Amino acid sequence: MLVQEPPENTRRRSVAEAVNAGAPYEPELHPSLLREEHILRVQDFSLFYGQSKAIHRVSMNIPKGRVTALIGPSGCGKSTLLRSINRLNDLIDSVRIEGDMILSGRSIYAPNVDVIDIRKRIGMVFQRSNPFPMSIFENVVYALRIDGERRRSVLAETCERALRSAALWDEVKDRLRQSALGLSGGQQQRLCIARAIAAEPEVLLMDEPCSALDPIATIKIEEFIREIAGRITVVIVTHNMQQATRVSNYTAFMYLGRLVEYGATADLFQNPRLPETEQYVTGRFG
Amino acid sequence: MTTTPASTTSAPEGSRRVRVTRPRVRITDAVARVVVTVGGLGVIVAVLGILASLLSVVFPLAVPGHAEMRGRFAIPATLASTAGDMLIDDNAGVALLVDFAGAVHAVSLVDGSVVSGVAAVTLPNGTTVSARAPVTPSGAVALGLSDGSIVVLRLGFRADTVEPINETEQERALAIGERLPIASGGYAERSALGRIRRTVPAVTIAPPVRLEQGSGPIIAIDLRSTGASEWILALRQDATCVLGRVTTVRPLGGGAPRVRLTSEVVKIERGPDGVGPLPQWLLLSGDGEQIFGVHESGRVDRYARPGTGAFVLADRTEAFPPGRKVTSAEMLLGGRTLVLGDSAGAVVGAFAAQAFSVSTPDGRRLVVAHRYEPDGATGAVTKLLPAQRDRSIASLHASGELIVRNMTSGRLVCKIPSVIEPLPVVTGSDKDHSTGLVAASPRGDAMAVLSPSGQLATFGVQRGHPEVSLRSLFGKVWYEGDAAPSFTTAASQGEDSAEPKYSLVPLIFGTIKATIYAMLFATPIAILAAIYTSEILHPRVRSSIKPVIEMMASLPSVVLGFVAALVVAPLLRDTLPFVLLAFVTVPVGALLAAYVWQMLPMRLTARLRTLAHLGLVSAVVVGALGVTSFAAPLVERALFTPSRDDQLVLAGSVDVVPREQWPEALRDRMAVTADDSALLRQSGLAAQAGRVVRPVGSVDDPAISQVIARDALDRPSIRRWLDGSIAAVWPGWFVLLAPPMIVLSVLLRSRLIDPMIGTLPIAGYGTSAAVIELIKFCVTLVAAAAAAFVLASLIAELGFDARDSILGSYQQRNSLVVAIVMGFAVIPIIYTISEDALSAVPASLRSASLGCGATRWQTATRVVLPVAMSGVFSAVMIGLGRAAGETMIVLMATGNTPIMEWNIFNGFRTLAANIAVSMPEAPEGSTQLRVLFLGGLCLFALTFFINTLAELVRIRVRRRSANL
Repeated sequence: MLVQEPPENTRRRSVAEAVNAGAPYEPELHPSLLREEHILRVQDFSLFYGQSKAIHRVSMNIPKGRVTALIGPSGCGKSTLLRSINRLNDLIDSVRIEGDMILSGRSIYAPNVDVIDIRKRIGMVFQRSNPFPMSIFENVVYALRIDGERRRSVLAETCERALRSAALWDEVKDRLRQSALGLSGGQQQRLCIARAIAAEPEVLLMDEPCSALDPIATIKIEEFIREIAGRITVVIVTHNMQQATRVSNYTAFMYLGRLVEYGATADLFQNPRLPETEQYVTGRFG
Repeated sequence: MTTTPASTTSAPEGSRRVRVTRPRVRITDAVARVVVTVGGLGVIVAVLGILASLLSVVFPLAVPGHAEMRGRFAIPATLASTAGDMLIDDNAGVALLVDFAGAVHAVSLVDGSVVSGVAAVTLPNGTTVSARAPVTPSGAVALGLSDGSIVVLRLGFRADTVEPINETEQERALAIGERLPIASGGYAERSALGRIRRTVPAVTIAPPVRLEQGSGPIIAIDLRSTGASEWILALRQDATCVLGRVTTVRPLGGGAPRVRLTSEVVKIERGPDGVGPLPQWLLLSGDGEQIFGVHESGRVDRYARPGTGAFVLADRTEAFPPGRKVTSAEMLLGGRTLVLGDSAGAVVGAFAAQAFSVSTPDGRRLVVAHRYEPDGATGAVTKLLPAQRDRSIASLHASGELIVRNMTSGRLVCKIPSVIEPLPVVTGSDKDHSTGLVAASPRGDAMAVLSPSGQLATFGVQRGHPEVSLRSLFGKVWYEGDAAPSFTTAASQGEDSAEPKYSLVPLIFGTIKATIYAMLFATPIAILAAIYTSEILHPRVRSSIKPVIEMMASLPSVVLGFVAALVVAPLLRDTLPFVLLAFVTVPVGALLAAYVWQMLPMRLTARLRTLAHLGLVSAVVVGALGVTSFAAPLVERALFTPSRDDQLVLAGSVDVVPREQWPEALRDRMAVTADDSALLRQSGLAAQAGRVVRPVGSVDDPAISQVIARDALDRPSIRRWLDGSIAAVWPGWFVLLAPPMIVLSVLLRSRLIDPMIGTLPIAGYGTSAAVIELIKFCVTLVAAAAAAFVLASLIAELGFDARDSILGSYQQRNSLVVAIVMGFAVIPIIYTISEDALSAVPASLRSASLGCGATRWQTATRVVLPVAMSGVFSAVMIGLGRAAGETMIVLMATGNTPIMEWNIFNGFRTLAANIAVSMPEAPEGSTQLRVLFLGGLCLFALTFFINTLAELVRIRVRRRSANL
């Protein structure tokens, strides 16, 4: 990959220097972002685990209907940021936040917000597949069940649509009543995807969805992401640069709990503005 | 990045360290292996050993008794064919025969030699012995003479230990256990201690007493002795029956005993024309209160004296099917059960049973409670012999077989095949032919059989444990005097003649009842608490709450029992309405609080965390209890206020209802009991002191209102209602039905009504939706109460009363106390284990569920609980095992009465408590002790069964969620 020296490189201190100096750090934002309509705005978002600060005043806008990849070395806070979007970090005892996130014009962290409502609008797929020990069918329609949906036709229809969408329908349509735990790892992860999209969320969060899967299963999930792009906003955390380039429209590079560079994927990978970004995407560090 | 210490890799070439295992490590390893192996095996061996020792104590119960022949002799037929009674001594070395003429002969059971005329009744000129009473356990034989006189012989044996210096030459040659007949009758034996013991007959004969009443020879006679009294019953030819009572009074200060004799004439019914046949046998009950006249046809007339009046014919029954003849009649030990043998070889036991449903003068009726048909061609019963120490009866049959059977349990003690020739069968009126004789030593361990031709055989008998049979342990047995067969456990036995009642069923029932009520109380609380702490409570609070609850488990159960008996039981008695109401108000209050919570602004609720949250929940519970204490008197007033009629009955302002106006079903009862009050209430009547009464007067009457005011009879009281003093039936059903109705209507609402409302455009989020939800909940509650009321009235209208089943009269120490306190013993166990199981559910599942937008409660019930189900289930089962085996709490918190009622307000006795209560009074090796061990084994089997079932279910459930 040909890497061009960004012209601005010289006028800035490196990220690590800036952090060590305690200076505020402004991320490099590619102008392509401005053209998009945004569904989620992260505004000056900081997150503390007890005393230690895991996310430092991150501000970023997630374009609607696009696939946004969060990349960065381990411990840079990308998973934490992702889990903050549907407030799963609330479950952790010592977590404290500052700033806010706005989903479709409504605050996520305002005091009068019902966290359950927020989560109903955001689907999530985890790094390790975690199907419930129920039948395949019940797994997929779980979100509908907890909303009190009892009509069999609606449930069956939703189940089929979600499973087709996750490219799992043909494999499991004859055994919907069997335990989800009998599926292979790749199938289980696609089942979790089907479960996450069954209730048609506005945003789908994916936390390294393919890291535990073999290449073929990975390909299937990437196909799924490309397919639903446009309908559902996807935010995906990945360690796999190729995957980021394959599936995402935009990529945000995080480092040391900060958003460092954020822009269109092709841009960021081919013309990174910061040396850290360049080193990371070329695999020289991280 | 790699900064591994270089110590291992940087060693110079050549001086490389050789790794060796030090001998100490090897030795430690070997020792540890041996210790662990021995310890592990030791545990297994110990458990099996306990089981084996239990079994070894219980096993003898199953071993049947048996007999073996000791000796066989022939004695002169002239003597044998005229012998009327036989008695043998403790060690079966000598037998006494009483012949038809009243002479007593000694027969050595060592060599069969006969010493005639040990003693003899001197008959007045021309008189003969016309009737003989069977020998009593004390060795008394009553003879009726043809001139109307009665002679009582007292047969016995005197055993003297002889000083070595006084031993005869022959005695000196005896080895231990060897016997030698004595010329004058009796025998000498060298006992196990090495001393010679001479046993010789001791016979005293009282002078004949002539009956004043009636005329003609005595044709039937019976003799019973109870303590200081001796009863003699004699029937003369002219149908005059005389009952004489001889009371011997020994003055306290010493001196000669005084003898008092009273006699009365008993009128024998002979049918309408007064010339019917007289009974062939006349037997007297042990207490002298009943007379059984037995006819050869099988008809038994029972005479009794109601109150203290004269004997009247109380009732009669046919003991045998037509065609059979009674061939022998005796009274069983204790003198309450009449035993009859018939011409087909059957043996039946009959006694006067309580019976209010038939009108007999003494409220009892003669029932044939036990009937044992012969299993084989044994032929007619020729002679019956009741045992002296237990309730066995030996029957000698025409075939010569001897069958010993326990009458209560029906179990065979032993069956001795015939060693003598077939025996003649004679009619009951023929008193001049011997039909063979049987005798048993007082302990029952030796028996002797004599045929009329002079064949004499002696047997040693191992009696085993005849009181125990499968039927007496697990089946219904008709015990003496009871109205019907029943499962009964007798607390303890006073004396030999008391009928042992060993049923395990009431104990198993009690164990199950205690377990069920305790688990009904403990399981929901424990599991909900576990869900609360593991799923909802803040982790920081959880870590401090869990040890506190676990500490509850370490409370000794005797302390809990102590608290139950001395604190909880009196408290519950005084606050019963409060406690019962709290079971409804606390959960409902918590739900209401949850609805109100929804209405609070989010900015307030979102901030409340950890301790504040816990404090709020506690405040809700305390608040609910406060409301309960306020509402309990109101509810009690609404449900359990005595009506005016109830007040009148309580105040005693009643008319006794004549029998003709009693309800049809009760009319032929002797008296009514509290059990009948349900029936009486329907017609506005009440039961009081056995009578049927009707309230009269008016509560406005000053005299009556004064009584009512003084005793506060108009005060609402649930306990009075439970005792049956308040007639209204529906409140009980209302109380029982309200909780299930609430649950049902909430379910119904969410399943049926909500989907309908859900289509309306009013549902949504926010405060307004919460208000709607709250209103819906309140409406549901009201609807549930209304439904409970309607249903309760309907059931009451149908004539069912809750007081006959799950509710009933109140005892201070009752199942509810046990349920609550034993619940406290069980809750920590269930809580700890289920909390562990719930916490062990992978966090990823929780995240997935929450990420789908589920609430914590939905996550807990739909994902976490199903996954943890195997653990929660085993927690419940371990709690169940603890509850089933719990001893001290049950022992102290209940009355330990072995009754079989589901009534939550009375007690019970569990297997474990029974063992604890009865163990000290059970002699070693006794049947009672072995039955206690059997109870322990049953308990073991019960818990083993529960645990096995639990394990199987757990494995099944776990397999389902194994791939997590």
